[in-house]
Amino acid sequence: MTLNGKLRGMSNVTILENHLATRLLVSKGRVVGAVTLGLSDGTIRVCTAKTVVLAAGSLGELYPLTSQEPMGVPTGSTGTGYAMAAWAGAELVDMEEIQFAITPARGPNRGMRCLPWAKMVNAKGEEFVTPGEGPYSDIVARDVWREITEGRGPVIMDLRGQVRDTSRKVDPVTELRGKILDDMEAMPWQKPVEVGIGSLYCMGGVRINKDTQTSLPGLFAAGEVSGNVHGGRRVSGNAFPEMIVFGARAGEAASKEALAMLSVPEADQDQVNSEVDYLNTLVEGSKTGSVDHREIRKEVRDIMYKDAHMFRNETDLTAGLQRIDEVKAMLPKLACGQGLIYNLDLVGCIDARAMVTTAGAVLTAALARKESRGAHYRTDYPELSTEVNHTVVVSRGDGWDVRLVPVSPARR
Amino acid sequence: MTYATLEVLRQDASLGIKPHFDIFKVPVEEENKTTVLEALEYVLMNLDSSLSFRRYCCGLQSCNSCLMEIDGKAAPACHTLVESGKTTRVKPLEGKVARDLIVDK
Repeated sequence: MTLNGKLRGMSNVTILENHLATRLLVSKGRVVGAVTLGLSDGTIRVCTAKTVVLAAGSLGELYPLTSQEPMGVPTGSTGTGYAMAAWAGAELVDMEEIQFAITPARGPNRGMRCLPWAKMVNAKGEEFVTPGEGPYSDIVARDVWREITEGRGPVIMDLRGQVRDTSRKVDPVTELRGKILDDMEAMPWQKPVEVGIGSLYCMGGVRINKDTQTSLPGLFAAGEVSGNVHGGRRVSGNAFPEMIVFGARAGEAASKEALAMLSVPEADQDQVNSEVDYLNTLVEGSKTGSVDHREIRKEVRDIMYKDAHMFRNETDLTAGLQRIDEVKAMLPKLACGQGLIYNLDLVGCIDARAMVTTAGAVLTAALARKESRGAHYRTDYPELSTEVNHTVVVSRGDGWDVRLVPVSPARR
Repeated sequence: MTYATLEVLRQDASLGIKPHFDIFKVPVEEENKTTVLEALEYVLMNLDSSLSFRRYCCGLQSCNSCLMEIDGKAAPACHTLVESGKTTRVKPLEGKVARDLIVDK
């Protein structure tokens, strides 16, 4: 039986479907629940709890091209979980460590991983990739990024006449999607296809210990939203075991702690009011707002593409942070469309707020790591530092506190 | 650039919007195919942000969140193609329509 099926059969489990958590509630330093917005009717709920597990996924959509928009359509990975943790005051670790991968840039193949036997050529028809490296490697992804950003693009993936190397394993998701695309006659077997570099996975996230406890009492985190699991680079296929192992650990640790508590803590009423007011103001903005949330989304993605993509440097990152502040100033003027029933404009406005915060965390952490390590590559600091540190960022509302924390010797 | 036409059945009783078709022209590239879900995403992002549909894509034919009636047949929008120069008619599945293409169970 699936986990979902089992949960639905349990009478003591309430599932709120089509609900968007917008804010974690903190009372006396402890996370005590969340405010949610029901998408089907606009109901705002205050959910209090002894313990809270954050399992809100990734930030892939901060970038214009991402494997988290399979077939060119989003999965909702707008970085909301990281932002909610940051607003609550939780530590975010190694937010600069974002993995990028080669993916078709257009059409239904968008977001799919490249096939290992694909040939890559630049606009002049030259094969430019580092010999001996397959398209799954970071080295080849960097080769492709160089061709694109140094004006030798577009880069084309050409499958014509390539021997299908069945000895090289393709991950099951890519294989299944390939089959579906084949059925649609949308696989580029006969036509070269333009590729780009898309975000793939964020190694950083909400800082947890081995039991998934975050820096805030009452808050646990599991899955991609958590950080400090893979180090600076994730081996392909390891996100799934991460989800299973740390999902189970989060469930165990959060329930154990909840069972030891006598009562559900009360929410801080001021905080509840402030979030409810915020959501109501958004709805009111449907009448008075002038800023389109799609502009904010576009702007954040442009900033991340130009200033915090595969190659970074101090000048770009600083400029990016400045632009993020400008975008942040636009948030109070959002227009959120009409109605409370499945109003995607309203969802877009809520996502926009999170995207701005999470992008700020990535830029800040990337600026703080003055070395190249894992997926984080600084053109102004191309070497590994001799000191092995995590970056830790904590939101202080109008900006970020940043510090470097030594990686424990056992994990080096 | 060529275009595909999308006829989308719109409605939202809570706003007094009666069922009617809106017509959108969506650019399609000859060298790349375009799915109905991509076309709807294009409408949402570029033409009309008030359009509502289950905007999620697993891309693996497993979540069924984009099931809708496409040219008279129930089909996943993520795996149904629009065609340049042709019209595709999109309606919600049978049931209680919440808004536009979203049916509440």
